[in-house]
Amino acid sequence: MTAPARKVCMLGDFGVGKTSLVARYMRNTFSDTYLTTVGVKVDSKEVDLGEPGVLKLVVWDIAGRSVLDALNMSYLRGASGLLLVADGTREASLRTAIDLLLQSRSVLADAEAVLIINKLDLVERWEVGPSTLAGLRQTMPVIETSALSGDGVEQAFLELAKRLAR
Amino acid sequence: MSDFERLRHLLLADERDKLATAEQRIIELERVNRELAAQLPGLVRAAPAEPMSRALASPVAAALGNAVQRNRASIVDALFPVIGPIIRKAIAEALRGMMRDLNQVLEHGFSPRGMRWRIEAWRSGVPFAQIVLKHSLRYQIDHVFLIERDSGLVLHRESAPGLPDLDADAIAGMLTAIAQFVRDSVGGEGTESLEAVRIGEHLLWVLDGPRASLACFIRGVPPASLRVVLSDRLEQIHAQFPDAAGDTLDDESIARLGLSANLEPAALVAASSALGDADAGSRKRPSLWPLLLIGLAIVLALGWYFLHIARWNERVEALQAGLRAHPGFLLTAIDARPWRQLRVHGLLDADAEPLQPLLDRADLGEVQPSVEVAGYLSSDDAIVLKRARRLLDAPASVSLGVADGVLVVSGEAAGEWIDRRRTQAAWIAGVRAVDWQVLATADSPKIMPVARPASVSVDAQAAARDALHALVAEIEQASLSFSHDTVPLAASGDLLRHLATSLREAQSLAAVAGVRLHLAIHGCSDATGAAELNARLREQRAGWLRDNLRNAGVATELLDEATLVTAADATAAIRAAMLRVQVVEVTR
Repeated sequence: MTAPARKVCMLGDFGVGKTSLVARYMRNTFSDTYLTTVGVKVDSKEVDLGEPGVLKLVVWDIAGRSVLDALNMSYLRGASGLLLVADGTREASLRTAIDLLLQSRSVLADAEAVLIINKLDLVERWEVGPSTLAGLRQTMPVIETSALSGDGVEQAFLELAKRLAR
Repeated sequence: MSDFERLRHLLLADERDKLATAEQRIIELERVNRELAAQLPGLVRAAPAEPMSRALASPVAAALGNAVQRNRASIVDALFPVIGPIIRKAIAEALRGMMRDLNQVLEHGFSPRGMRWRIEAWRSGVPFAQIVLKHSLRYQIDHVFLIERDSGLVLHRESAPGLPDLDADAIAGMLTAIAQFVRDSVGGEGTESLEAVRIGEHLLWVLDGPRASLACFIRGVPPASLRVVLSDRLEQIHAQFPDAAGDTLDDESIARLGLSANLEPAALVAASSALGDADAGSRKRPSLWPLLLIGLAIVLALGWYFLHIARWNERVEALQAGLRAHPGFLLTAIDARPWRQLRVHGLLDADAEPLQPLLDRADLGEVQPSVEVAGYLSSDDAIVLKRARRLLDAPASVSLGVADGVLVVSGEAAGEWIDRRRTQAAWIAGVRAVDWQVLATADSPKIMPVARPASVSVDAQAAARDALHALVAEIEQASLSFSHDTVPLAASGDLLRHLATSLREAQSLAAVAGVRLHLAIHGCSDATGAAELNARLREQRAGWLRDNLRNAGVATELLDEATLVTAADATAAIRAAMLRVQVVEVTR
């Protein structure tokens, strides 16, 4: 029996480390050049959730931008989950991630969302304060990650997979 | 040292030291540079390959570009040993491909298999090229993906056995993304969608349904019927698609939809092949009636044509047989175009019956036969008999007959007639021998041709005149032919002797008839050669005949009075000499 699959879209500002996160966690079936040409790169990963079984995440890494155009909106169609990625060292990227979440709601009203604050390895330079993070955690799961060291990366995908498996 | 020098030394001591140091450094740098040029190859070799090649890539490319622009000939010369083999290899590959195609064409065109395919094409009404494609196409379906249209998730997939595993979900996702990208780039949200992608021998077909798309990864050239089969399968799936299928189909749904069986690559190929055959079979077979009618018309036309030609040939052969059997006519050729034209060529004796009645009886339809004949003397017995009758003018009491060239003259006749004709009979053309069985009647005194008495009867005189005229006619018929100049033909000796005898006899008859003879000796020439030369030739030939007649015993006075006619005569353009005899009344 094949594992059930869920489409997950990864959104975030330019340079927040989305592609690095995917590279750290996924199979890397396709080249990164698709990001600059088609504007998206698709990859997949099977996540073992234990009791519920295995869930396959098909992750659409959408090229970084602050506003979703019509093409990006079409890429979002059919997605069950969203991975919002922000750079802890750039508070503006957090605002962009929230904006993108709000924009995507017009297409994905019920999609599960997980916020990733990346670049944990540069935590001493973070502009995003703990109070902000605490406030955000009240509305959605927030996970700090480091694409460089790999800290929190698997946890972030696992968290989304668990929510999708419900 | 002067004060000035000392002052300068004190003031510029530091600068001088610096200058010396700088000079020393320049000298050192120049030395290092000189040594660096020698050490550079070794340093380049010793350097790590990757950073060195990265560092050199850009300047080397720029240098190569400059070199191509400035010194193209040197670059071409340097690359020549490389370019030659590459071109030869490309040409060899192209030729191999062409030979392969040619072999395939020949194989399909003339082999038993090709003939079988031709018959199949004729029987099924399918173009031959399509039959060849049907039998020679080799394609394989590698993967079939049933993809949820919005999410791009794979609902179900089937792959041919033995292929390496692939990330179907990622591929389906990228395919969906690219299709959306293409649609967004060229057509917006219209109904247009990506239908096919081809790279080399790999082909990707995408068939869109309302909820799911079917992506078929193919190698080779598939028939059009495969797309029909795929469309059919997609419609079947949509007809039974669960309302809430979600992003994947469970095993129960897959079994209910029969996806494994319906989308299995081998099953799709088989269904496509069956559909192609059924399509060919259901195609209306072309009616044979027009072909049969055309064939019948051709057979009838050919039959009529050959019958027509056979009838013509039969009639021409009958005419030919009639012409060959016609006495006094020698058939040389017949030019015929069936039912259009007929021309008869041959030789006709003056005493022969005319050919026209024979041609009229040939029944050649609208064709009016034309005749082209030249004169000749026939040795046919019937013609020789007619000639003898005309020349001998035999009385009713004398009967003539010719058998195998022998002229038989029998009966009774006046002695005068006998005297005149007996000699003449032997000279008739075609007469080989004369069997003379004529008895002289008692009341007819025999005329003696020579030593004619001074006074002769009127009857004898008239008879002599008649004989003379006949003899003159015969003399004038004779023509002495020359091979060239004044060299006579071999047969001319006999003719000359005969002419001399006839002239002597004519003189005798003239004496009896009371007339006198005057000769005109004609010299003739053909038109070949210069006019002056021909005139001399004519004169020489006339003189030759006169001299030789004299030698043969003809009276000198007759020849001395003779007129030599040497004028050019268009009607006698032959190499010959001949006589014209004028009978002159003697006035008393």
